Amino acid sequence: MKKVLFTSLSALFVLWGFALTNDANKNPSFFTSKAQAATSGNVTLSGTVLPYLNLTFATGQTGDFGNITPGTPKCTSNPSGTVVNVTTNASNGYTLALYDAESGAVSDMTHTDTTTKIADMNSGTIAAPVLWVTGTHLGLGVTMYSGLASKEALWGTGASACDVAGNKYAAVPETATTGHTVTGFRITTDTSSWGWRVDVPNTQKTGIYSGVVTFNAVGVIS
Amino acid sequence: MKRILIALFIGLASASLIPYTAKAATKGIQISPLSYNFEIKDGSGDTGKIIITNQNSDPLNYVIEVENFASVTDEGAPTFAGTEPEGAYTTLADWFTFDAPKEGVVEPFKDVTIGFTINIPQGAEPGGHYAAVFAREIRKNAEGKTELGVASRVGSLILVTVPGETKKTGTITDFTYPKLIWKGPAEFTMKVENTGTVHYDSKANVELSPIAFLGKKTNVDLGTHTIIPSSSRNYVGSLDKKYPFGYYKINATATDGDGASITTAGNATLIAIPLMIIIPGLIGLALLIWIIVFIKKHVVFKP
Repeated sequence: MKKVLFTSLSALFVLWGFALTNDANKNPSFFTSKAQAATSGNVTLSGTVLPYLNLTFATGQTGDFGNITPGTPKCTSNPSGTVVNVTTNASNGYTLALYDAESGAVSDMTHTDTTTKIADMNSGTIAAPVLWVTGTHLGLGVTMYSGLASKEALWGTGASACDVAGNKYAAVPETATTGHTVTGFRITTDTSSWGWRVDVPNTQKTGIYSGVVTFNAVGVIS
Repeated sequence: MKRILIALFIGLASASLIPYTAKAATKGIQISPLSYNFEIKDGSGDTGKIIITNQNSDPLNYVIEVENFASVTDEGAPTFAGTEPEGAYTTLADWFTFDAPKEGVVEPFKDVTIGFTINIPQGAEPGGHYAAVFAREIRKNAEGKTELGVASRVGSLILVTVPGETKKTGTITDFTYPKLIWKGPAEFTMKVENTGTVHYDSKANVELSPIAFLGKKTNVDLGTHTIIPSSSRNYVGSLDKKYPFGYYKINATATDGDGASITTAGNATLIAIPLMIIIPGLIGLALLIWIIVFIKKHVVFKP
């Protein structure tokens, strides 16, 4: 018993002495375990979410009137007309305008002679579209027959691209004129659908006509 | 053989139920950011940039255009003036220069950043000047067919203030409110016109102050809009209490460009009586009175 006690005390004294004379960095390896070295640092991430507006055409980027007989109004052959998609994160919404950059009472539908044009619809404006009356209305007209978010009442009650009984038509203006406005933030893509109609007088030069109408979108001013 | 035919039939029938969706060909253009608001002294300039993105699988041919606008609808939609010169004097649209050619191509699923500088000429008229920078898709007519094509154009609105002698005044041209309501919400609408020479943000508010301690003071915030000169903006707000109660004096205000309050003329009042609560209450009271009278008449309490 005495021997055990004496040995234990001696060992303790040795250990104590060792600890006093060695700094912590030189601890005996059997008393230390290697921990994996840890390092840390900061990474700064930054970015800016910008407001954007995207305008695409789901269908009807080309509208084919086919053969036009004077006195017989025609819609484009695509039953959906032109379907416009607008996606934006603008907090106040967007506006959609149309124009053809043609001065005077003519549309951009131009003959292959590059001079002769089909007239603008002879009545009806973007501000006040009118019901199409065969025999009275001539020229190129446009209507908005459907809107996902909303449809302005001035475009009539039509439900399809060639719903002549319900759609109200307007001449395409020379400068961008608002035809459709959606106010407020929209999470999803908004869609508006447009129909085209044309009739010509007997005096219209025969031949092929083609033209472009531009849809113009900007954010609503806050 | 019979089993093979049945299996074939079932397979074909199942295949016909799988919806087939032809991927619609979409053509279009994207722009960012959507607006800039500058204050630039005459003789100085400032810069900005627009980012045009092509999200289609075909290259996008574009052209940059700048058009002035001088009027805005009540909903905030600008009316553009076209790209032709407006007269002998220069306008904001003429003060733009771009750091890249105005025509270009954006490759599929790529974007292009175009920087611009607005240089205000010396002696430019103080006040507001307004334009939009557009990116228009260049579209060529197809040949050989009588057809109409459509192209896309998207824009970033540019609002510029040239400091100097300017007016930031406004007026409330219309204010509608309910005079008597049984239940909420109660809607208020206001139209504010900018009668000044420079755009500003106008905050509209309707304050309901109780008369004769009937009700609680309430504010209805109609929001804030940017109004450009000679244009009006619509404001809409509502008192969203389900059963409002009280007798209120209505004070409709909007702020002008200097932060001063513009108010409506006249005394507007609102009476709110929640009939859904009061009528059952009155019926209950009448019933109670009747019961008391009935008991008094027909019930004798014996000591």
